[in-house]
Amino acid sequence: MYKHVLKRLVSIIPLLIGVSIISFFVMHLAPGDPTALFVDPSVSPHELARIRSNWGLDHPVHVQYFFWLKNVLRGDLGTAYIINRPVTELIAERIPATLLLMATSLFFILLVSIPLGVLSAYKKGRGLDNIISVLSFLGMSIPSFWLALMLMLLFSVKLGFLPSSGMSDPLLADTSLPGKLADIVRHMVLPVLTMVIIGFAGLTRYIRSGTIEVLGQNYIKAARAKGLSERTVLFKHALRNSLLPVITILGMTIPDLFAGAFIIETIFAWPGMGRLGIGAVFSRNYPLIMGIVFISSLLIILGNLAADVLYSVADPRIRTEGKD
Amino acid sequence: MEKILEFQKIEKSFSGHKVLSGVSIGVLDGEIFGLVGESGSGKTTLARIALGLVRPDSGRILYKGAEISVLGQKDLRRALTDMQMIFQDPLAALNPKMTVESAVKEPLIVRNIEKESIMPRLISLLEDVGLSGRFLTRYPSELSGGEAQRVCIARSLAADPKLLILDEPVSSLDFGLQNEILELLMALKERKDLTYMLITHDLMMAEQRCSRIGVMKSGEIIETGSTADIFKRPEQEYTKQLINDAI
Repeated sequence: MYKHVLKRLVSIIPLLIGVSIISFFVMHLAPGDPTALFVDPSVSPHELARIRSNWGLDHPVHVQYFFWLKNVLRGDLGTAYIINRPVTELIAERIPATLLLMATSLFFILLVSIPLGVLSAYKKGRGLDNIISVLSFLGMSIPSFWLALMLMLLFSVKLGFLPSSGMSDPLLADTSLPGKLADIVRHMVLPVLTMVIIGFAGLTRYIRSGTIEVLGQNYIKAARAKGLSERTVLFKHALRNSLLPVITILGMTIPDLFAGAFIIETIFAWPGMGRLGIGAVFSRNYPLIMGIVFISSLLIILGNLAADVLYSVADPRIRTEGKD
Repeated sequence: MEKILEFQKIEKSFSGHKVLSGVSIGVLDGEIFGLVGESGSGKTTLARIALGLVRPDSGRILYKGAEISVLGQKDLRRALTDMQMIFQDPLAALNPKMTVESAVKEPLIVRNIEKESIMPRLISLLEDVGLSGRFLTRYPSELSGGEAQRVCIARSLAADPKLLILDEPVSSLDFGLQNEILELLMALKERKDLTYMLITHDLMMAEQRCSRIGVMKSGEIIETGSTADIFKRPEQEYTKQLINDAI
């Protein structure tokens, strides 16, 4: 088991290098470069050349990549153009907001999906199953940006219940800690609700099909014959087995959540890494783009590794195989 | 001998396909009743109906003379802990995420056995089936087919049943193990005064172990009688064919 985790940890290195190579070269394939922002009659071509040289853009792309990689190996993700601040510092400032949004969304996605998936499987083919299925398909089909705007229109513009953007109200800067926390929670409602509506659907379907399969197993029939209540059969015997594949699905959901966060953070002006990333893309801020891609990839890979480890912890069959 | 379990005119269809048509048979207290027939003849469906796992479309099921087919799911399950089933594939009949201890303990908890007596009862149940306490911490993936079937038997005995429905209990085991498990079941029957309903397609096994036999074909009971009569003087062509094929 430890050997397996160690092996997987070592395999992260070539994977990250691969991701960084692809991202770096794709980024440079786009026409123009960051100095295009300075195309202004007041900036002389000589000045532009100096800026390009300062940012290292006068070197061939592969040389630029090796410079970037050398700095990364020393723990330096570079300095963001224009803002002129270390990329690590910028990401460190923004990452807590993204992780807060993602973790809260993931928590509520699980809270909604597990009971809905199990109920849907238990009531297979009946009214409740049909209602849950329709809701799931709706969740899968609605584009996140549209949903985000509709929720914002309803709850912020029409009803005025919830703030439409940001993470906190600047007017409440002097309030008490519980007051500040309540303010953050109010700001989180709409982005989290959007991510949950988009994210619960797929997981509910996975849990439904997994539970249907498990409910047909003989050990479920044996559990019923033991005289156990339906609740025990469903939640102790069936759920524990049907949740096993969900751990893998969760690992695969992390990239989706990251991608979703880029859109949701931008729409709701949530001060996270996603919004920083979108800003970096539009301003061609190469070091910042690379830093965000690098950190996101690292988190996604670690999330998948955690899912793998959790899977083997949760499944005695894998655990005992490891002993052999 | 009185009938412990009786099926009266049981009908069952799945998605319009008739699986059981007017099945009427009785299992006598203390006997080994063999239900024989080819795969798909409806034997397992009948067993599942007996255990309340499948509801019949019509017909009555009587356990010790009382009609149980009219009970609600909850009352039926409580009434039916007297009946347990041993499945064909023992490894599929054990929850992969539960240790032997948890699996065998559950029926004891359902029966409200005192906490202090649970562990000695668990050990005793495992010893009854030829296993020891060291198996308690094992998961199904750490058991052989024979060990898993022994655990399934121990789990069924934990419910203190009067009737065991044995659904092809040894057909997924190696030949050597088959006899071992059958001998164990026979010994337990005598020791614990059990009644067996043995579902099998193996007529030789039915001849050796059963006192009476019911022959099923396409969801109907076509012939019932003592094992000796059925084997010496089969009335139906289908029964003759089954016996000939088995020989």
